Amino acid sequence: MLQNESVSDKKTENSPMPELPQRKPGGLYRNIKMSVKTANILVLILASALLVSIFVLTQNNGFTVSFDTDGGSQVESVKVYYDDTVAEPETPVKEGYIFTGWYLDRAATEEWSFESDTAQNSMTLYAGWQKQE
Amino acid sequence: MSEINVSQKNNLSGRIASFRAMERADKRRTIIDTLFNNAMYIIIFIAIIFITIREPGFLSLNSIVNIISLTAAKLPIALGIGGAIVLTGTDISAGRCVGLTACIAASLLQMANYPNKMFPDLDVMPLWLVLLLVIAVGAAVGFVNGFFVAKFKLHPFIVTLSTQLIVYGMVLLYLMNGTNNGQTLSGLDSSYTDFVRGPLFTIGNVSVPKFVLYAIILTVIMWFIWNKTKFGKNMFAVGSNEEAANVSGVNVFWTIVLVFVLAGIMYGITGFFEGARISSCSSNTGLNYESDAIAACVIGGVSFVGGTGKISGIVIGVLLLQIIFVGLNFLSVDQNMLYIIKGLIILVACAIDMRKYLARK
Repeated sequence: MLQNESVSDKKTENSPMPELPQRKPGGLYRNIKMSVKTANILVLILASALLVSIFVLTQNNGFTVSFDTDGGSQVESVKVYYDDTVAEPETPVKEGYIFTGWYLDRAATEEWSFESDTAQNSMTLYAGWQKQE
Repeated sequence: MSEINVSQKNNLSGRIASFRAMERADKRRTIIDTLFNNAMYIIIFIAIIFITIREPGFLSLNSIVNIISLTAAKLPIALGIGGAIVLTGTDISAGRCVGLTACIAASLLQMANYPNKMFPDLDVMPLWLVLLLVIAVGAAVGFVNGFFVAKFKLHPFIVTLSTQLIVYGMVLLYLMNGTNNGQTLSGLDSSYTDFVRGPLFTIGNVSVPKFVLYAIILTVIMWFIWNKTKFGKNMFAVGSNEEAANVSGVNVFWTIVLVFVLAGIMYGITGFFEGARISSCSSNTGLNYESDAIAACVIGGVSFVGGTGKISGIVIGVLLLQIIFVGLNFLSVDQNMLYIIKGLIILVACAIDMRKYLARK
């Protein structure tokens, strides 16, 4: 696709059936000069790096649940594991507002239940606030 | 193409017989070749065993259905990118394009009485109209990609990098529309979510969502396009040797443009499904989807050498990748950490692909 050589000179030759050029060498790899042995070593190194990083990451696991209080008092984030419930954090306070619960979205429409909902991934819970009359 | 097809049609017993007849040195080389060429499958197999030992629940019906539906969700985008890889190119605008189409679909299909509606005066639009619209948006982005690649012979990396940024800018602008002010779009109409996420059938008490069926239909259509149409044959011809294809009368320009347009259509459809599947769309929707899709294609044997690749390979690639990701999620590995794994998987897959090419040469 990226070859700049024009094909016009091939067309002007007066052969009845245009000779098909050989398969273009290698596409994206056409400039690679490397022995198969070197490629084997490269594959081995990268493959072991992949396996090692899978093992390391699974040792140091846990999802982070952070709490966004939208201007209220700070709430520390907690670490949970797959399919576990989240421990309910301390209730945040914000001047002039009443705390209504923790929600999955900032608009406070989907409430998070600390009894029944389980963590499937890292996430942020948003504090719901109602203006004090 | 032809010699590859012939070698793939050789049956297993024939292969074993020819292996027995080999010299010792040849046998050794064949074994090493097989091990290295299938290194990715071996790694994934080891990872699955490791995950299953740590969390036996990984092989439960629930997580298998989860893997299948995630595979279905990521399949169309990989089917689109596969065509670009067959042309020795790639498409890194895919993820953002999915994000744009998902945001458009979600904004037009919000509940009529949802308080944070982007267009408060707009009624819920008919599904088919929105689907056509997002397909058109995807196709337009694909056309721009294809046009610049085909006309100016720019490398697809460069062209799609710039369209990626342009599309991202459009997503951000679009989310500022109406009363939305850049917020996440949610509160989708039930006709939309039912159409995409509604249960197709239920096994045990786990339901398989409807988009699995749509992904299967798309796969069949793409298989037909790749294998049974003139356009598909032209695509492989251009991918394996553009000059030869040109000499033998293939319209190279339109073949390249159409491959990218087809990919764009796939992104549009993916965006339409993705909007309902994750049910809240933001500017981050679709981020890095292309990396999964490229990795899946290369794992599945769509080679950067050009001109080789099969739809079945792409399906297997997406499936294997999702098995790994769901498994790591099961082991409570943070989503952010998965990026390291994804990057390494792409590197390993490309190294193996390159090794295959060097060994054949």
